[in-house]
Amino acid sequence: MRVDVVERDDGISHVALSGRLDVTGTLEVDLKLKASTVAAGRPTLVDLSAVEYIASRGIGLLMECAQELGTRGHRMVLVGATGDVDAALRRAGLDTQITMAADVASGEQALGPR
Amino acid sequence: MPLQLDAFAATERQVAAFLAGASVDAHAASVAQLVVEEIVVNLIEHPDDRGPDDATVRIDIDATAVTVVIEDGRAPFDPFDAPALDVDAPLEHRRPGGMGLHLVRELTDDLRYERVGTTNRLTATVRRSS
Repeated sequence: MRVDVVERDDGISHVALSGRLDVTGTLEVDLKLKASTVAAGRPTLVDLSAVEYIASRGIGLLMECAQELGTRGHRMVLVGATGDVDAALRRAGLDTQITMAADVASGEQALGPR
Repeated sequence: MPLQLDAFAATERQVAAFLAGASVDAHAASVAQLVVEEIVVNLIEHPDDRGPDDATVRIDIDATAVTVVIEDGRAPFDPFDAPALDVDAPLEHRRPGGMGLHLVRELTDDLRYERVGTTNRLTATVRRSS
């Protein structure tokens, strides 16, 4: 499981996850994902297009990051989830609480003007 | 398998390889793996000193479905008795607890619990798409 930080200069934190967000993968990326999103304290895009699998621990980690950013007044948008990853997020109810966008451009639009 | 997280990592790899080797479609394979992960990790994270510290995972594949059977010798635990997850709660009030069982209930096509003697048996069925 990997977390790649996408460098940009527009005030958005942008990370791309790849691999399996199972219990092991979630433990692997927990600290780096929080450091790249929550600790940065900015509007955030989390790209899930290369995530092959997600279970409840992975969903819980995404939820935790969105909650922490929310307490600081920042939104987090999930982009690019497809197939069973998208279905699991929606069945967990995240789509009504965290904006889910089809791609990065839509995610940027959802974050609004900065 | 012993109910320990490091042992589970090996089981998880075996399950993924078994499903891939049987050419199970991506959806059925993903849900079957999710069932194994959510149920077994739940057992690992909620130890019960009264029962044996292991579980058995069996996966049956036929032309139409993947069936996951998980057995443990713990105290009776019927996942249908677990409180429903409030997915409509505001984000700031959401907690991850209970999400695993919720996903298992939501994503499987059939889910049954039986108490067989001193054994909990959970049987989850996922239809194959091809």
